[in-house]
Amino acid sequence: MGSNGTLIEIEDLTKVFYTDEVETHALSGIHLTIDRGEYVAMSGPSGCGKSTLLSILGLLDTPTGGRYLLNNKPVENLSFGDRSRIRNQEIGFIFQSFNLIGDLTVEENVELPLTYRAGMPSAERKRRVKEALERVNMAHRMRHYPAQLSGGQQQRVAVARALAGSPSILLADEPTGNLDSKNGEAVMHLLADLHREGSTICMVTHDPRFARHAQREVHLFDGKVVSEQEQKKLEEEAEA
Amino acid sequence: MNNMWVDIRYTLRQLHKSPGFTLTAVLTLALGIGATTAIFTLVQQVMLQSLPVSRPDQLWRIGDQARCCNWGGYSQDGDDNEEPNDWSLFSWEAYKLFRANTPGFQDLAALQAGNATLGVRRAGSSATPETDNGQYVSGNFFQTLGASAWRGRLLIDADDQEGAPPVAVMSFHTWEEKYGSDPSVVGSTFQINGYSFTIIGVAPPGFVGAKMTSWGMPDIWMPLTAEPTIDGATSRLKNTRVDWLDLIGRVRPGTNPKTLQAQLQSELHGWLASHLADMSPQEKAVWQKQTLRVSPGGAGFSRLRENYGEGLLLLMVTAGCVLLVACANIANLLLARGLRNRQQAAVRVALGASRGRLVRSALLESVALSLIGGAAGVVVAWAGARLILYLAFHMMARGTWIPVQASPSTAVLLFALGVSVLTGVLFGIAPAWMTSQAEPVEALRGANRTVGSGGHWAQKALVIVQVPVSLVLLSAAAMLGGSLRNLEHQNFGFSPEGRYLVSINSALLSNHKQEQLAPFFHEIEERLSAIPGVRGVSSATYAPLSGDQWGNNIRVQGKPEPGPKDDILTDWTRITPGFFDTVGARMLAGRAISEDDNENTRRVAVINEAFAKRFFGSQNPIGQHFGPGPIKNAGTYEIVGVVQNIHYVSWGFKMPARAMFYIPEAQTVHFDQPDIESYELGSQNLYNIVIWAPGHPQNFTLQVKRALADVDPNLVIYNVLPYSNVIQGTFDQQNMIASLTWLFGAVGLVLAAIGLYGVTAYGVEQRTSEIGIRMALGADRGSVLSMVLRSAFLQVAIGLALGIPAAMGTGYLIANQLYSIKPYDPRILGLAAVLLALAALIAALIPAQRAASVNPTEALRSQ
Repeated sequence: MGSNGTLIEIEDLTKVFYTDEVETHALSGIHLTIDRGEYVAMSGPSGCGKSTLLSILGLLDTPTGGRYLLNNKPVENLSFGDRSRIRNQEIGFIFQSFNLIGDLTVEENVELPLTYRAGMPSAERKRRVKEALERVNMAHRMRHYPAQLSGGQQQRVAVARALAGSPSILLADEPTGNLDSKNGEAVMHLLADLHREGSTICMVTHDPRFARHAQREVHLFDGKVVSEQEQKKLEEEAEA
Repeated sequence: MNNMWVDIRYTLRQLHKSPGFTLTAVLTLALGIGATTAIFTLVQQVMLQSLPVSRPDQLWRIGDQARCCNWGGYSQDGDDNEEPNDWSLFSWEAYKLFRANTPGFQDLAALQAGNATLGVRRAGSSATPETDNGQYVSGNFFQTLGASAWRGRLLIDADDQEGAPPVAVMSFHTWEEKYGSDPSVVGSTFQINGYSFTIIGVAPPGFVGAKMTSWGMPDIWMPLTAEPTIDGATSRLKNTRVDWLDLIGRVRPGTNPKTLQAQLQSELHGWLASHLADMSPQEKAVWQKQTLRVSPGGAGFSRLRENYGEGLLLLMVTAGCVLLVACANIANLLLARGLRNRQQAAVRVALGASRGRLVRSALLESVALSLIGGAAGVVVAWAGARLILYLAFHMMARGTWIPVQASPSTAVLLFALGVSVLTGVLFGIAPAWMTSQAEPVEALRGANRTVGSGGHWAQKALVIVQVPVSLVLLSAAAMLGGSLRNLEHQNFGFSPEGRYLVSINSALLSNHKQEQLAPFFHEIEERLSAIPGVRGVSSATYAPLSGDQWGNNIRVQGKPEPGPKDDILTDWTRITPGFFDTVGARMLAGRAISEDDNENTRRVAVINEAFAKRFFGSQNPIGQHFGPGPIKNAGTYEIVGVVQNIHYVSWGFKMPARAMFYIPEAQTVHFDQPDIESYELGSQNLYNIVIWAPGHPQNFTLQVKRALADVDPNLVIYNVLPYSNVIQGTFDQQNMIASLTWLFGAVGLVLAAIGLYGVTAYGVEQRTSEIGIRMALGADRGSVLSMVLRSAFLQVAIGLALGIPAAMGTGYLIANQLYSIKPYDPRILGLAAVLLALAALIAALIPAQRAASVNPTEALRSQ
C-alpha cells in the first residue's frame, strides 16, 4: 500500500511522570511519522513506553514536551473537550482487554461512539453499525451481549466499534494480548484485511510474530525510538 | 434528543439489571419523599389552600383575627399578642349596617363564629336525634361565596327574614355519610332541637362554608333569623352587646382595600356612637379607639392554620432532614457504583464522550431513580397523611370530620414531582461529578489498575453530613417526647386517676325546660351514683380540659369601677354539689358548693387561688362579694370558698393560672343586661358529668350509658372517657409532632447507620489486598478490627462535633414547642449522641469483622 501523505508527525516528544518528587521519563525525544494507509507496529520490552506513546497518539494523554501534528494540525495542547471530539472523529481504539460494555448489546457497543457524535441521525448510525459488523463478520451477533461471545468475537466487535466512526487511524494496544493464538491470528488477519482496504493502523505489540504483519516496525527502548539491531543489543545488555 | 433517548433507555436497563440496588434506592427515596410529601399534603390544605369557592381572591374579611365564639360588649381586646381594640367579631345589627352602607362590597355575608350543637331527626321519627353541627348564616351566604346547590336550592335573603318559614341547607358530607345520599332528604321536614325545619337543599361536594377548623364543621346551615327559635331566651340575634358573627364579603372589581377599610372603620364608629348609652364606663373610655382591619378572605376563617401551622412547619423541616439523610445514602450508593464502573466511564471518554455527556448520563440515572422513588413516595405520603390525621385529630376515634384530605391533590403531585427531580439532582451531582472525572487513559490501563481514592473521601464526607442531621433529629425527638411527657404528667390541680368524663348534648334538645334542668341533673347523678364502684358524681357546664371555656368581666363589691387597662376577665362555670371532691381538687379555704345552695338561699360562689390573689391579694376573700359587670351587679355572689387552681382550658400550659369562679347549678340570678342573662341561662345547660370510680369497674361505659338512658332515652351521649384519655387527647398535636419526630429520627438514624455501613464495607472491600498484606506482615485480627472501627468512628466523631452545636441551635428554634424542657439539655444531647454512636458501632462492626476475617493468602492471590 503506497503512502498518501503524512497523517501523524511527532517531533521531540517527551512524557515525564512526577510521583512524590520522583521524575520518570517515559518518553524521551521521540520522532515519528505515520503516513495515511500505513500499518505500523510498535514493539519493545515491557516498560519501554509503547503504551504511553500510544495513549498520546490517541489523545488519551498529553505530552510533557514536543510537537504532535495530526492531519497537519497541532493537537498536543488541546482542551479536554477538543481532544474528546477529535478522538471520536479521527481515532478508532482497539484495546487489549476489549473494553466492551457489558450492559450493552453488540449493536449498542458499536453504536456507542457514534452517539457521542453530535447531529448524526439514528438511521445513519444504524447503517454504519451494520456495515462495521459485517466487515468483521459479526452482524449475526448484533443482539448478543459481550458475555455471550468468545474472546475472539469480542475483539472483532471491538474492531467494529473502532471502525464504525470511519476514523483516520486505528490504534491497537496489544490487540491479541488476551486471546489464544488461534484467535490472535484471526484478529491479525482482520487488521491486515483492513489495512489492505485502506485503513491506517498503529499497533502496539511485544510479540515479534504479530509485529511482522505490519509494514513497518518501530522499536522502542527506555522511551526512545531505536533501530532493530540497536534494540537487540540493548536488550542483551540489559539481560546481562 | 435522539441521544437523550439512548441514554434514557440505557439508564432504565441499568436499573433493571441491578434490582437489589434499584429496590434499596427506591425504598429509601420513597420513605424520604413520602414523608416530605405527606407533611406537604397537610401544609398545602391547612396553610396554602383557598376556600373551594369561585374567585376566592375577591373575598375579603372584616377583621383579621381568628376568634371564637361570643364576645361581649362594645370593645374587643384580644390576646397579648394581638392589637388592642381590633374588631373581628360583630353583632347582627352591626352586620346589617355594614351590608347596607358599604358599596365596596358586592355582597357581604355573615356566619356564626362558633357552631350550634343540634339534635336532628326526621319529622315523625322516634329515633334518638342525631347530633349535628349547625351554623347560622346570612341569607346571602352561599351567593357571596359563589356556591350552587347540589340538590334543591340554597338559602336566599328571603329565607333570612323574621317570620319566614324555617328552612335549612345540609352539607354534602352529612347528606352522604348520615343519610346515604337519600334524595328524599330535600323537601323533607326535620325536627331540629324540637322545631320543624324544611331541608331545602344540599350544598355542593367539597363546600365547607367559610370556616376551616378541626372541630364542629357545619352539617347544617340555617338562616341567622332562625337563631331565636333555637336558642330561645339565650338568643344573641338582637343583642347588640354580643359579637358572634364573622363577616366575609365579595368586593367589587377595582375596590381599594384601604379605602374599604377606612369606610368600615367610620361605620363602626358611627354604630358604636349610637350605643353610647348602653356602654359601661370602661367601654365609653375606649370606644373611639376601637378599630377594624380588612384582610384577604380567600382562605376563610381558618383556625387550622393558627392551631397547626407551626407544628406542621416543624414537621416539614424534620421530614426534609430525613430526605437529606436519604439523599446522602443514595449518593453514597451511586458513588460506590460509579467507582466500580469507572473503567466503563474511561472507555466512554476514550471513545469520545464529553464530560458533560457523562454528567448527563449519571444525572439521568439519579433522576430516574428519584422519579420512581417519588411515585412510590406518593403512596407512602397518602398512608402517612392518613396516619398524621389520625394522630392529630383522632378522626376515627371521635368520628369527627375535618376538611383535610389525605389523598394527594394536583398541587401535592406537582410538589412530589418537584421534590423528586430536585432530590435526584441533589444526590446525583456528586456521583456524576466523580464519574465525569474518569481519565480516558484508564481505558488503556485495564480494569485491575489502581482506581483513585477520591470517591471514598466523598463517601466519607456524605456520612459526616448524615451524622449531625441524625443527631439533630434524635435530640429534637427526645426534647419533644420529654416535653409531651411533662405536659401529660404535670399537676393539673385535680386528680385524673380513677375519674371519667361524660360528654352529653344539651338536655334542652331532648325537650327539657329551663326550670327542669337542675332536677334533671340531680336525677342523673343519683342514677350514676348507684353504679357499683362509683364514689362521686358531679356535673358542670364544662369540666377541666373538656375543651370549652367561658369568660366574663367581673366587678368586686367595694372596689371602684376598674379602668380600661385593669384585667377583670375571669373564667367561670356552673357546677353541682360535690364537684371538687369528684374531680379531686383541694379546698384551700371556706367550703365547697353544697346541696344547701339552692334557689332559696343566698347566691354563692367558690373562687380559685388565682382569683383570690388577683382581686383580694392578702385579704381574706371569704364573705366578699362580686358579680358580672356592670358595677351594680358587684354584690351578686358571696364568696364561700377558695379552691386550688385547676387547669381548665386545654391550652396555655406555660401561662400563669387563670382566675376562675364556680357557681351552683341550682341557683339562678336574673340580670337586666340581656347578654349576661343569656349566659346565665345558657350556663345551666351542663355538658359534662365527672364520675369518680377508682378501681376500673367492669363494663363501666355500658353501665353509664344505661343509667343515662334510664333517665332520658333521648339524651345524646357523645362519649364516656377515662380522664387519662381526655388528657391524652388534649395533647394530640404535641403527640403527633413528638411521635412523627421520633419516627423521622428513627428513620434518620437507621439511614445514617446504613450509610456508615455502606461506606465502611466499601472501604474494606477496596482494602482487602492491603489488609491481606498487613496480615501477612504480622497484623493480628484485633488490630485490623480496630483499624476499620477507628476509620468509621473518625467520621462519626467529626459528625458529632458538627451535630452537637446544630442540635443545641435546633433546641432554641423549637423552644416554644417545649414544656419544662430546656432547649439545651446535656442529658438529652448525650443520650442522642450515645444512641447514634451505638448505631454506628453496630453498622461498622459488621464490615470490621469481615475485614478481620480476611484470609491473607486469598487476599494476596486476588490482587
